This record gives sequence, C-alpha cells and structure tokens, in this order.
Amino acid sequence: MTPLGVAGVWLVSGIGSALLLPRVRRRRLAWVVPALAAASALLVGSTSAWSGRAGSGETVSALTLGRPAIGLLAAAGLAVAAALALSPVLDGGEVLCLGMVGAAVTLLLAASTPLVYGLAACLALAALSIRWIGAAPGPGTLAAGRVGGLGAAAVVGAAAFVPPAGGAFEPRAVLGGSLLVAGIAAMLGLVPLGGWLAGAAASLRGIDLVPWVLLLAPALVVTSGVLSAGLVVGGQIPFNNVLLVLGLVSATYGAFRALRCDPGARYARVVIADLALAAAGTGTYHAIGRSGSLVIVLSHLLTAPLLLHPARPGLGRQRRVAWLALTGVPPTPAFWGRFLVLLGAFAASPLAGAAALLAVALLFFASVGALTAPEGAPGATGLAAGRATRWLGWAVALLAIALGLAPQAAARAVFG
Amino acid sequence: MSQFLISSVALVGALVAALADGHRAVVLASAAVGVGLAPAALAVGGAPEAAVPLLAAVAALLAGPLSRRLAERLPGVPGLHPLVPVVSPRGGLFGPRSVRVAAAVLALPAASWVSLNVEVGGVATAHGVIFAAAFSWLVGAARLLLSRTVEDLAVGAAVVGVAGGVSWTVQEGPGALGAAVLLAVLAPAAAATAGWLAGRHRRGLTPGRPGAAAKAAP
Repeated sequence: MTPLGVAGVWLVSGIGSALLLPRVRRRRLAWVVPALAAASALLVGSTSAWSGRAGSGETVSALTLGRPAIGLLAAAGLAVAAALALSPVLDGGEVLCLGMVGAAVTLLLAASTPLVYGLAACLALAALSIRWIGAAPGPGTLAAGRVGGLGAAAVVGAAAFVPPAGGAFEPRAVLGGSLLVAGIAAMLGLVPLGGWLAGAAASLRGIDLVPWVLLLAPALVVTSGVLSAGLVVGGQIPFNNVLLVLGLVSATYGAFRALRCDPGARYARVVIADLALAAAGTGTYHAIGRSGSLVIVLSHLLTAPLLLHPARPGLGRQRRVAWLALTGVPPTPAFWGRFLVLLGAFAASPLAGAAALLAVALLFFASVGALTAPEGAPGATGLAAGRATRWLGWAVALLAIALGLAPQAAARAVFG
Repeated sequence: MSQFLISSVALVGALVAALADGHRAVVLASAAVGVGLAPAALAVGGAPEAAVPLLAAVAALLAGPLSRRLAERLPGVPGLHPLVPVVSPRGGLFGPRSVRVAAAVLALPAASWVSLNVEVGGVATAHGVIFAAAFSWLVGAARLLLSRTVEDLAVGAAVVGVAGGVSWTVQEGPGALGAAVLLAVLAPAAAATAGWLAGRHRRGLTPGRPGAAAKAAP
C-alpha cells in the first residue's frame, strides 16, 4: 500500500459512504470509513524515522509515510471511527468531509516538500471550511476559511522561499521560515489565540469538529517538528521560538476561557488549549517537550471521541472517566503530557516554564470543573446510548486511563 | 522580456482578481491572474511553464460552468449559496471591494520589498518576475482574509494556487512543471467547487446574475 493508496481509501470510501449510507438508512455505519483507512495505513511499509523533510531542493518527490505518520494515521483513524460510533446523531455529510480531510492529511504527512504539504493543507482546510460554513453559517465558521485558509496559503507561499537544508540564513530563509511558521500557527488556531476555532466550535456540533481535532491538528503538531528540522540552521530557533510563544499564550488564554465557559462547551476549549500546549512543546526544541506533545495528542485521540459530543444518558460515567484522564492528576495521560511539556519549557527558558505552569494549572482547574459538574449540564441531549455504545464508551475511557500508566511505551508504540 | 512589462501585466491581472465579484468571479480571477503571470513564467521557465497558468485559467473557465450545469441537473438541496454573504455586511463608509483594493495597494510595497531583497532561484536580477508572483500571491491571500462568501474563498484559493505555481517555477526554473501544475490545479478545482455549490444550493435564481431581479418579479 502506498500513501496515495491510503489517501484514496479515505477519499473513495468517504464519498461512497456519503452517497450510499443515507440511501440504505445505515448512517450509523459511517465508522467503517475511518476504520478501513486506519487498517490501510497499517499496510504501508516504511523504514524511515520521520515522514519527510522541509526544503525545496527537490520538486514533488515520491510521497513517503514515515513510521510516526503511519502510527498517527492508524490511531487517528480508529479515534475518528470511535467518534462516529459514539455520535448521537449523524446527518450523512460528516463522512464526506472526513474522507476529504483524511485524504488530505495523509498527503500532508507523506509530503517531502513544503509545496505538497501546503497543497494538502489547502485541500484539508477547503473541505473543512465548506462543511463548517454549510453546517452553521456565521462569523466563527467563516473564519475557518479566512484564517485557516490564509495559513494554508502561507505554507504554499513559503514553498518557494524555504531553502534547502544546507542553505545560508539570508532574507529568503527568513521569509520562507516566517511564512511556514505563520501558516502552521494559523492552521493550529494559535493565531489569533485560538479565536477562529473557538468561534467555530461554539456554533458547530461535536462531530463536525472531529476532522480538525482528530486529524488535521495532530498531523500539524507532529509535522511541525519535521518542518523545523528541515530549515537552515539559523532558521530553526526562530521557528521554534514563535511556536513556543504563540503556543503558550494560546494555551493560557484558551485554558482561562475554558474555566469560564459552560460545561457543555468546555471540552472544545480544553482541546484547543491543550493542542496549543502541544505546539509549544514542539517549539521547546527539546526532545522531552516533543515527547510531551505526542502524549498530549494521544490523550485527546482517546478522550475526544467521548467528550466532543454533548452529554447523554448512559455515557455519563464514561465521560467522567475521560475527564479524569484530562485533569492532569498523576498518573493520568494529561499529567504526563503536560508535565513533559513543562519540563521542556523550563529547559527552553524559565519564563516559558512559568507560562506553561500557568497554562497547566488553568487546564487542571478547567478539567476538574468539568469532572465535578452535575450531570445533565447544558448541551446534554435526551438520546440514551445503547448497550454497544456504552461499552464502546467504557473501552475508550479506560484506554485513556491506561495510556497514563505507560505513556512513553504507548507513544513509542504509536509513533515509533 | 522587460521586467517592467512583466510586473505591469501581473499588476493589472492581480488587480482584476481583487475586484472580481459575482457568480463568475473565480473564473474571471483565474483568467486574469493566469494571463498576468504567464509572461513571468515564460521569462524564467519557457513555453511549457508559461502554458501552466494559461491552461489553469482555461480549465477554470470550463470547470466552473460545467460543474454548475451538472449540479443543476441533480435535485437541489438546502444549503448556503456560495454568493450569499455568510456574515451580514456592516454599514460602513467603504464596501468590500474598496477594502480589497486597499489591501492590494498595501500589498504593493510588500511585494516590492520581496522582489528587491529576496533572491529566489537563479533569477537574482529578475525583480519583475518575483514581484509578479509575490503581488499576485498577496492579493490572493488578501481575498482569503477579507472574504465574506464561499465564492470569495474560492477566488482566494484559485489566485493563491496559480501564484504559488508560478513562484515554484521561479524558484526551480525549467523542469518544475509537475509541481507548478499541482498548485495551478487549485484554480479549476475552486471554480468547479463554487459552480457545484451554486448548482446544488440554487434558490431559484442566483444573486448577482444579470437580470435576476427582473426574473424574480412575478
């Protein structure tokens, strides 16, 4: 299986399911699409450590999925499948968007040049924007196209300016690196402080956020380190510093907003803040911070399928266990992820460490607040979960707790 | 070819793309930027490279109306028409088009700085070529940032795609055809998407189409 094959599985099965499942009244089977894509990702053979390198010395070379990319695609595919299976309502259109974003994210992870990377990001953002604007027209969803699209355009623009890895640190490298980091920050919602994502999250259903939370954002966090490593020597530190600063500011602001919002909308705020913290971990330029980022990404791959959806009868306990995994109390996975990022931030600079500490403390209080909130909080739906859904909810929640018992081993198993 | 001429043609093309509105905006913007950037691609690449933005424009010209016709054959579904503003416009002294022109004016010094200070590929002295690609890209980015409708987003994507393809040609020189084509495909893809959405989410008559008001009258 080649990367193009995996992308094809996402795309064809997504389009096929969107056309077929509503006609045979089997929308609930949409989870088959990401499950198939996850299985196909495991069939890709790879020996390289990472997916690709930045630098425009080569034109569009062969797409290659590295070991971390394969692991991420498989884990994200399963997480998306769980999110679809746990969704209270499906309208049949979600799977089309998921198929398109999944295909684009596969290309993004397999890209060996910023040009293909930017093109894949453009396609992912285009699919996401059209879906979001169509589902809930408003300033929040339009901003996904405006700011997110501008981020993808910046990465496309960067492609011409990013010099090969051995190049000199000159205006061209500065421009290329700036466009690249600005693009990634915009797509990750770090600019303007998670604003466009929070606005979209406020007006969308949880299932519509799945393509960003479980596919695009993890892929951007994981590949930002690869892009940084491919820049010229003088460009790597500014690139990482920008990610660190923007990530920490966004994480702190997002966590603060998460504290103040109602419990029904809290998870979206927490995941935006946590992924910003993960981006900051990548920007620490220390291996320990980057390990923390991967653990944070894994934590949300396991908790988002439950927590992105509104509360409903039959899944209350499972949701509490998932929130427990996000509190940051040892030995929950969020604790390990945030702790490693904290260590990385302190290694980068004491000021960054202090900012990360504040963000982690706010995230702790936000998660504990959600954990102790009464059931039937705003946003709850009256649709009771069936037995299979309840068991799946337990499986997801317990896996999230189990991740905290062996975070490094789990991260190694997924990312290699 | 004169660098002044290259940059002037691109300037006019990008300004047309900044001003384009209505149900043919993607096609018009793709054609304007494609024609505007073809001399730049010809100067650094050759005839095949110059054909890429032009063919992208032709493909957009065909893909937009074709996908719209195709979608109109299918039953209409509820949804947001690409020409309907997602956010209701605020009353202001300047309209959206004026704001886009202002953004294009601001893009002029930025693109000039890039052309004078950044050496791309082997064309250190070809300032006009770099200006052409940079200015067109900036106009596309401004259209994305200032968009109010799905059609605006499609215009931005198309312009960024064509400009990105030519930038890549400037960087790599002759032989970078594949990558340039990949990016330029964004233009017909955006036109096809906008056309498809307009056809699927039709509301009887398309806003902005000439004569729409007259036809809408009972």
